[in-house]
Amino acid sequence: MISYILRRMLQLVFVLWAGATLLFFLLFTLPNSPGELIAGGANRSANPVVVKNVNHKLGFDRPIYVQYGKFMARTVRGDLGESYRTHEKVNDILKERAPLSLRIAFWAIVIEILVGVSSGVLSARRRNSFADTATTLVAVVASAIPVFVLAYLMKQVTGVYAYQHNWPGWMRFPALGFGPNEWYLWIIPSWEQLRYLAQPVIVLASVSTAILARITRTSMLESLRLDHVRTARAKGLSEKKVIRRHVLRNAMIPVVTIIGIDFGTAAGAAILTEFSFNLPGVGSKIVTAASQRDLPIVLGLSIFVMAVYGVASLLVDISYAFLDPRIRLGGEDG
Amino acid sequence: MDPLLDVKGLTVGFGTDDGVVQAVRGVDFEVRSGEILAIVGESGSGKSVTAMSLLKLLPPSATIEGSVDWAGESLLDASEQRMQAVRGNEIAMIFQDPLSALNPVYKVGQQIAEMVHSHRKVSKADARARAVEMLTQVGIPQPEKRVNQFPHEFSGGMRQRAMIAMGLSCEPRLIVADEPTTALDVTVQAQVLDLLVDLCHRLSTAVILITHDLGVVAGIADRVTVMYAGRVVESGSVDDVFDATAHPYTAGLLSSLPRLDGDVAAPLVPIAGQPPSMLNPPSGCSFHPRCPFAKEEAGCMTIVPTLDERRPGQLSACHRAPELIETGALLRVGAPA
Amino acid sequence: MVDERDQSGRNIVNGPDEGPMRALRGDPAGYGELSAQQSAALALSELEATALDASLEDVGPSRSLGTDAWRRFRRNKLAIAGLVIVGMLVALGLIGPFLVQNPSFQTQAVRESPTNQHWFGTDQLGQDEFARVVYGVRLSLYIGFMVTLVETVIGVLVGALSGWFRGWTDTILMRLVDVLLGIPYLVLALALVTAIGRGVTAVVVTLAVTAWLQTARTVRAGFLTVRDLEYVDAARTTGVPTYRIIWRHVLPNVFQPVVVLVAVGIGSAILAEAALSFLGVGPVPPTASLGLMIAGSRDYFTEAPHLLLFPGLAIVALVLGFLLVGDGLRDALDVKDA
Repeated sequence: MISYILRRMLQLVFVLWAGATLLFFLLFTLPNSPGELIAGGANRSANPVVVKNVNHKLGFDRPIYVQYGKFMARTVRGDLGESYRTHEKVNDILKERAPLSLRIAFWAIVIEILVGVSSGVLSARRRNSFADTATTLVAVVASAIPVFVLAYLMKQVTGVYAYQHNWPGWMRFPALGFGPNEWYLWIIPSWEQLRYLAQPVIVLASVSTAILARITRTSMLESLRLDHVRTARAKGLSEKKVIRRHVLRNAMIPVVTIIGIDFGTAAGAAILTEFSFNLPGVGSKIVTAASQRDLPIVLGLSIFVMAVYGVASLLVDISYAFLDPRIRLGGEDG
Repeated sequence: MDPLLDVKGLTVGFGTDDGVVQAVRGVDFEVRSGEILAIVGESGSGKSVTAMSLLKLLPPSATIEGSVDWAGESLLDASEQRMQAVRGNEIAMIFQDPLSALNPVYKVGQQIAEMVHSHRKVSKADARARAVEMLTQVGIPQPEKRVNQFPHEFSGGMRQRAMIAMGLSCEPRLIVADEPTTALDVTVQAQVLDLLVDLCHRLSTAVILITHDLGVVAGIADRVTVMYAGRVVESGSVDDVFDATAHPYTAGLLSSLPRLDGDVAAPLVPIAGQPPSMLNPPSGCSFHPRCPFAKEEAGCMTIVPTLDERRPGQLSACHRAPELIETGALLRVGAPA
Repeated sequence: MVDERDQSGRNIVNGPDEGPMRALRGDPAGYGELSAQQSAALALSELEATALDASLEDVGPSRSLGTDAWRRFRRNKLAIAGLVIVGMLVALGLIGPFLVQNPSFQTQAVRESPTNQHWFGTDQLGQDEFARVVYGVRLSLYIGFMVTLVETVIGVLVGALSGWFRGWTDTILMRLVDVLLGIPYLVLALALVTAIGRGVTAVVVTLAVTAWLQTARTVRAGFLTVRDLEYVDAARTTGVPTYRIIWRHVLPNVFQPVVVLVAVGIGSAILAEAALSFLGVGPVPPTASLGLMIAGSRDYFTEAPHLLLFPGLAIVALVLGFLLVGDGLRDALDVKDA
């Protein structure tokens, strides 16, 4: 088990290094020189002398491997660089914005797992019932609605329409701002905070929840058909015990994998959610930086998102190994 | 003595999109205490479905008719709760592929202990001790260590031994073994089978051994029931059926086996043709399209033959059985002309 | 005695009925419902099930994989609904330019609700919303198809190279896939767009570069399985040229999961394009793009909800259609790992 975790951590370090390298070369070797971007601003007809000066000042006229060496040296030290438009430091941006993003992501994942897994299990248990058909349909449609469309609809219904028509308080959520920033134990929102948090969290959770419900249902149905479930019945176990001990646990193995894989999609959805709700998180900042072509910010924040995603996947893989002894003990593939 | 298990007219159908598949069509057999009954048949003959229907382990899409009499109690009418008490405790099952039949995420010991736990009021430690004891009995070395291992850490033969240990852990009166050695390496098949038979003799547990391999049956079974296309075509003591079969299908099966007591140079003759479709089985005797003796006048193509006693204790379902037994034609099936 | 096991075992790999055989052997059939026939057969032991299947197939004349898959696809109501949606939208995209006026033509009527003249109303610039939705669907479909085309070509090539040559080629290519999978797709897409700029072509390139990973993995897995099968070995030892082995034996085996990935991939690409447009890093205005239209509507939702609803519905319909078709194909072709 220890060796598995170590191996997996080494792999994470490699992926992070290679990903950062890839993004670096992607952003800093493609046709338009950074100096031109900065000096020329939006209209792109920059004075060549200015471009040259800017490039020199920021070190872009040095050979690419020197630039890469400097980039790696500071990244390893934990310095993710600074904007060359506003000279904001990526680390400062993160200090300010990362907590909100992480909190929203955390609660969205909690909802995703609770609602997604339980509705998938119920759906599979009462196969072909009305509830099953409804869950399946809702899940299919939900995975086809773009996050931002859902965000706007939600904002308009519970954030605007509800206020205009005096809906009861628990159905009204403020559509603007991000609340008083009150948290217990860093992660638990105060009641007032929750009212601001609810909409983005629900929107962010929706797509993943739908996917997870579908996967859980399929996985449950597959597990129900496995030979060892027949063995469990032949042993004389009650149907409840068969499901709880021999179907659920095995069905959760692929579900956990999907949760891990889904973090990547969820990161994208988080960016869209933050942008739609104008939340001051990491995601909305990446978008702004990308549209302003602020390369160091895009690079620095991307590395941060990659690291969070990587650590989350690592945790998922470890819990996966706990669920499946074949992985833990390095046996044959499941 | 009354039989332990008495099955009469067992019929199992599965509703499918293309119609009802009659997997088992009126099967009769009985098992007495401590006896080993082999049910032999090709793939699709309905032998596994028969086994599963005894414990009502078939999916809801299956309809079961007939009667299953278990020591005076009708199992087909028993409640689900009663069936749970029967399963594992009174009748245990051993499946074909021990790798998939064991749950990969639990330790072997846990899975045996779970069986003990669900039928006996015992402490956790006692259930575990029982698991170790059973692993010792089935000849697994270092049972104290093995009990804490997962199925994938066992070899194929060891896994099936563990399955046998689990099956016998509650000392059932009958054990149903569905192709218990088919998935195993040839070299360990005999060992595992011997072990099963040996233990069952010692515990005087009756065995229904389901197999497609007639060769397996010869050494160990007391009686044999041959199935074809969902029906019993012949049944009797192993000696009778092997030495003087009363059905062309059994004769065909026997002639495709290498025999030690006969002419070693004699060619092995497979039965021509394929097992029939269970969705639309042949009329009359299901075996007639493949039978070398089928005759229009005998009614082979039109009338379903009944299972009649041909010799004391030996039954066969064949219109031409008396004539074929008389002329000894069945003994020469597969012999060079 | 006939050795059924061996025979059916061989059938499973090279028979035309790989799909149903696998389902009946008890392998998970993928998403969705089991037919009654399948669930009945699953109850039987493996040996009996294969024989039962063989016998069921005997009933009618032998069916090819295509007919068989289509038969199962047709029974799936959701899949048919998806096919109808996709068909209608593709038709709309093709004939749309003959139906509607220039989507950039600005009338005096600004943010007008739907009328007889402007079915979907007009937007904040006075442009006909219906015309813009039609052109938006056209663009979405174009991007969806182009991205999937490029992505599939890259994915199949990389997967095939990896799975066929193994060794170093495989290690390097698969590490690359791992690394790219380690970057959330939207982050990678944003970085790419930052690097190469905006516009339709940039979007196609960006999305194709982020999307080929799953295809490559699936194709590689298919190659790895098939390469070791006996009949491929046999073909090799008898001197059949490599390209013929790949063409005749290996590609048909990876074809089914790739078909499913293509259908699902078009939907995902459309969704991703809408997201990029919405974030302001996709096609440049005045291009009629559904994501851009939604982004432009955000300040007027209360007075002009149609500006969010119609393009929003168009995206949902497009994505849902391809998703349902993909799911239907997955079930009909019995593809598990796509």
